[in-house]
Amino acid sequence: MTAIQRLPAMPDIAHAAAPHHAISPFHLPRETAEYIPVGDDQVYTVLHESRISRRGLALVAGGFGGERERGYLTLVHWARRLAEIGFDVLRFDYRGIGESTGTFERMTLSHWREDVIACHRHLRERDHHAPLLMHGMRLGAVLASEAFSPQFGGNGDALLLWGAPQGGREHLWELLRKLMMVEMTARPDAARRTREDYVEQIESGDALNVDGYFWTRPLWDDASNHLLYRSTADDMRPRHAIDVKTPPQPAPRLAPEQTPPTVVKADKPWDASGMITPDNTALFDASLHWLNRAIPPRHNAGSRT
Amino acid sequence: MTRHVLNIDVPGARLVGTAHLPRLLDDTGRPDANCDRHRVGMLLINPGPAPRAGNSDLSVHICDALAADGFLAFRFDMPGVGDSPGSAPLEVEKYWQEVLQGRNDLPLLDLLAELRKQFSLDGLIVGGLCAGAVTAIRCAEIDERDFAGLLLLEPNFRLTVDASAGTSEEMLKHTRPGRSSRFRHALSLRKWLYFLTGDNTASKICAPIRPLLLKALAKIIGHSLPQETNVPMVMSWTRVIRMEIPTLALTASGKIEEAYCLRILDSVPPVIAQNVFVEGVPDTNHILTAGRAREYVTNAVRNWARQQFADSAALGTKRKKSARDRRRGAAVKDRRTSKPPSRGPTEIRPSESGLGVGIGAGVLMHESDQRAPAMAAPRAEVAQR
Repeated sequence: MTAIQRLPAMPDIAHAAAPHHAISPFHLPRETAEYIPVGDDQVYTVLHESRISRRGLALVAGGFGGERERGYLTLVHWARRLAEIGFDVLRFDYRGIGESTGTFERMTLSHWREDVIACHRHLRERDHHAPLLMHGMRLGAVLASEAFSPQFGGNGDALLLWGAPQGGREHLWELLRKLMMVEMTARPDAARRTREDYVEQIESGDALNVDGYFWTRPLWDDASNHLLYRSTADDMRPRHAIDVKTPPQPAPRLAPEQTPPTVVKADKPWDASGMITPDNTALFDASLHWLNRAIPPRHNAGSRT
Repeated sequence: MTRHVLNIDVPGARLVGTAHLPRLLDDTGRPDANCDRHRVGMLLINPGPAPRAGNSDLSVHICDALAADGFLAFRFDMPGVGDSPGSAPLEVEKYWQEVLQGRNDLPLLDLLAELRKQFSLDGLIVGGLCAGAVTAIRCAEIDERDFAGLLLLEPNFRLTVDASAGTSEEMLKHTRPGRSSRFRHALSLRKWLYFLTGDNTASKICAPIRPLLLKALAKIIGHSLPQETNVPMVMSWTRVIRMEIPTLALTASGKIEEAYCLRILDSVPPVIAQNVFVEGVPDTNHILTAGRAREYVTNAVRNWARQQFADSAALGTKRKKSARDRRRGAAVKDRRTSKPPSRGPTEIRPSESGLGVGIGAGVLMHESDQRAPAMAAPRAEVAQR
């Protein structure tokens, strides 16, 4: 296990540099990366601070494995967009993935739900009264919705979901379909394996390499305990789901929502493509359209720098 | 070992990165001067547009392993990707073209200078996967002063990125080609190259005759690289090889990048290329996520770094002076501020065969190797595991 130490602030190397190196702070987004302790490990977080009067807080939970890499820039751009309109945004890596410490093979969805809740707590410390948006993409949507549910503390004041699967197990099952395609392409002469074959391998105790991450039996078993939270009648907090539909494909099976989900016709940010980031204009606009009703802008918004 | 987030400002950009520190820092946030660490560090940059953790966190695992061995290891996002602010094009292909035109060169060179200065290092092993490797080569050629070594993971010496990037559905289409695409495949240079490098089904079926075909081709057209070769990039690497910078190139075994690396190395006199190790990673893909590549690559880098930089462990112990060190002072002066380095006597000449199709539209020759076709020369050095 890698230990992250809370260290005295590293002297800003920028300040030591020659004057011509200086970059105007007004040209840079106010972003601070730091580690926060969760269990025995450390979760990597990036806080995007708004320069204008605070409209709210937002916690962004992304996908895991290969979907993290592919959707990374989309979430960075989304966080910067939210910061521009007055949100302080926190995004993070789950333990065992990306910048966070921990061993992936020891992690389950329950660990990652703890990460969501810990990050919510960390973000909430900035302002105990501002409305807080819980936002999740793909697996992050399931975990954010669980953290949003009264069962896990009812964290957050509004919930926004992108490409939400119905649950953890359904999500893993879908990713196995993509693994099949990747294997068929990479090794066309190899014997074809079905998803059932993969599951059999996992259940026999052999880790399965999916996108370079080794899925273990505890991960697979635990996934079935995680279902997308559907708001009950007495839960009046706003929530909305948006799915992205690549035009030639059939409509995806969406998790049942109380209000019809918005379907955006665009490339999926979490899917492999020839794009670094797809054109997310429609996705961002649809999200902001809903957000303006869920957490309206304050009329006295102004610079706070 | 510990990790620490770094923000380093270079002209025109702020770069966000992670330092993997072998031991505790002192009160100023710098590595403890008394710790038993190497005076050589490692810096990995983004594999293309993926975040600095690398595909399937490969870069994280490499840096963790090196930090455990006493090396200071860094991973940084280049401008516009990962957490570093800046803009980047939407399309991978456009990003790739910009990388080839030097998009990340100056930020990397400035970053190297800052890291070396701030952490009192003799130099850094610099590398990355694919586009990261390409940038490392370009920068080593511009200014080798900060380079202690090169780590090239699947370096791409082609003019385009692999067409395999696409949605799952698009990939599925490629597995069942229709009649028209079969016809296109038969005429495709890329498919023929895949065949000759043993990278598709047909080549596996024809495995026994493939070496004979290659030999025949070599006889007909001499040493050559395929038409889509990025010749300036190949030339850059050959010049960097001549700088005698210790280099480890890891490629997916039996795949196209391995063929490129070996053929380029073959074109350099073995005595010069002795610092370059090429190793194939079995049963994996271009981004080194398939199979057991993570473990394999991590171990290979670790072993290579231990062997190459064993004498940099103790403070005050300098690396053995090589011919490269002796040349350094004069040779690299003003390179960073001047125009692209001169090509010297090395030249590209058109294929004698005049083949516009098939393999070999360009022939790579070296001043010291004008007569002997490099394909016939022994390999420089291939580490066997």
